[in-house]
Amino acid sequence: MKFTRRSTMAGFAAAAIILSTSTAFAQSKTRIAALSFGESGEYMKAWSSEIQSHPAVKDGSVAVTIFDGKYDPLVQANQIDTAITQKFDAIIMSPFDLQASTPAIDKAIAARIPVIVSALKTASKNYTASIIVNDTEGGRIIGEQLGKLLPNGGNVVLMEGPIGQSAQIERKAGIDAGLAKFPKLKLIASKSGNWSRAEGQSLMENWLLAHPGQINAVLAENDEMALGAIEAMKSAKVDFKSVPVLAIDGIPDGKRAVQKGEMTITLYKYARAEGQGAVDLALRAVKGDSYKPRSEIWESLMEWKGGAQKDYVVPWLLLDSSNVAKYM
Amino acid sequence: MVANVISNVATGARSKSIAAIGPYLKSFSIVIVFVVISAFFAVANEYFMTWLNWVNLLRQSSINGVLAIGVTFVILTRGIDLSVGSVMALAGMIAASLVTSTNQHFVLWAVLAGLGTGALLGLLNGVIVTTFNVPPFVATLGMLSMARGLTLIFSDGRPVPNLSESFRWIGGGSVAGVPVPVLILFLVFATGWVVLSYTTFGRYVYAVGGNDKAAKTSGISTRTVIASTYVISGLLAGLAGLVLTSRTTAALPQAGIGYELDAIAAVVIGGTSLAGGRGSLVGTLFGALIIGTINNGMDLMGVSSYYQQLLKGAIIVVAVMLDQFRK
Repeated sequence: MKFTRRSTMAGFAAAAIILSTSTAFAQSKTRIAALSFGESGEYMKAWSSEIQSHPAVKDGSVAVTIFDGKYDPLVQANQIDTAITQKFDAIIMSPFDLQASTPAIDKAIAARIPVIVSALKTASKNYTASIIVNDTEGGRIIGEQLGKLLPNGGNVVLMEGPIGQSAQIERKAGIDAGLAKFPKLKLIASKSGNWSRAEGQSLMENWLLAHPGQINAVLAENDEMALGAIEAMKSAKVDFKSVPVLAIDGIPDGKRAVQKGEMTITLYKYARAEGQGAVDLALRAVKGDSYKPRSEIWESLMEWKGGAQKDYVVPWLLLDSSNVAKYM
Repeated sequence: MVANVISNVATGARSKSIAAIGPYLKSFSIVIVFVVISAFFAVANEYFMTWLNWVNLLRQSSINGVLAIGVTFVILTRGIDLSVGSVMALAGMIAASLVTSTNQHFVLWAVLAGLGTGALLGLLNGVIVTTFNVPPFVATLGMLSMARGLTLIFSDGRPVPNLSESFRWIGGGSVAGVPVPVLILFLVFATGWVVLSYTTFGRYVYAVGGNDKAAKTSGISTRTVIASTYVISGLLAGLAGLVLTSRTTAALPQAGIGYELDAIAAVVIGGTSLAGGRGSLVGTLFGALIIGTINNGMDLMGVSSYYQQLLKGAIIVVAVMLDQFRK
């Protein structure tokens, strides 16, 4: 029992240190709450570390607290309540759910805290500004690229995100529009793989059994599922390099697969743009019109336009074997 | 993970002699744990002790609290209910479908439909467990998947948004400054407490969980009692589903995933024995409050969510360990 008690104390002590270091800085600076929809996913993790490496955060003039939404809109609603109680100066939110995020965002706005929506959309109309890639456009691009890769047509399978999430709805609409321009391409199967590599893998295994030798191309609404499909083709001894795989997100593993020639195209969603761009928009909302943005993305990728726009659209970067090395 | 928690507690629960004064002693120790944790956060963060934060904290604990109270009934009969997270999603979805802008009914029908769905699935659990002798773990694990499947089928995987103003009052409204979900939690708690402490049915629940055979020979219809606890658990899961759906202003097919684990954790922290027959709703209420406090307090302090997971698990185990040690 002695041992247990000592380690309990050590646990509490360690906790206290972690806690006190994170709160000690919090006074007399601009405080921003960043609500990630789920810190166990690779993209969101990249998003929050980009936020923490924004120049204003690094030089200590801004303190950021990252909240993990755990893929649960209720958790995010609770965290907005917490951010209001804590009187944060601004909130950056990546809403897990289009509809369910609405009351939480409206509540923060009513409490006079600016809300910058980043990475995923909300149905609320009251947010301060948004900085998001155009998912419909992303879907359209991979649909059209596939049409160019297979000018004589072929059978396509499609892996979808969780049905009903804004990214799924929009990427699907874009893919449909892109494929519609190439009537020789035939969609023979489509199902949700819930953004997951494991689910994408079993989905592909089943399709390879159901349509032996007939699948000519794979479209996936994110990289993880495409990577699962590639694994499935490898173990089924399919000549996978002859089957183009096109996906969206450009996560590190996805880029590695493009470099190895296993994935044909991925659209790179630049976490720095959605993360750091949101910090600049939040600071502008706090400090006023004269604020000058400090992230390099406003020079390399996007136009600031005085920070006065409500919706900023982050462009996709198309990565294939010819340019992927630059973005590794 | 559930299996681990269960076997830990089951092997640890040995002294039955404490059963007579048990509930009071136990609730007392859980209150101390709650006070210590609150004091720790109060010192560490200036916002923790504000009125606004306590309103938040109670509201944040209300859904888990209602679920945990239902699960306590089941666990007292030596059962387990793993299906509450999925049942609440289905109940919320069915209720929501009756109060959308295109299919607008009187809000009471939606509430009754939600509660009815929960109670019905609970009854199904109860019948499968008592009549067909399927172990509760397996029966409710099956229901966890079936109810989720039904939710997805019913909704076609899509959220149901645009719920009516009156329905949204359940999760978002307040009476005299107290949020409705908090009122619901305390009403459920008070009712459950009276039922368990002062009614024949309550005594039967303890008797069946304490000694099944003795209860049977003394003329208690153990099957009815056990099945009823699953109906209660399902009914309260339905109620929690209404609150959840109303709070998020949309019914989501993925709602409530994993909520059964927090509910069981609240019951366990509250000192209810997974071996049955011993425990109290006071403990469960504070168990839910402790989980809510840990989440809220660590969020306030900006602790990384990775450490939060670690600490939360450790606190669950330590709370139960201290409880065993004290005996």
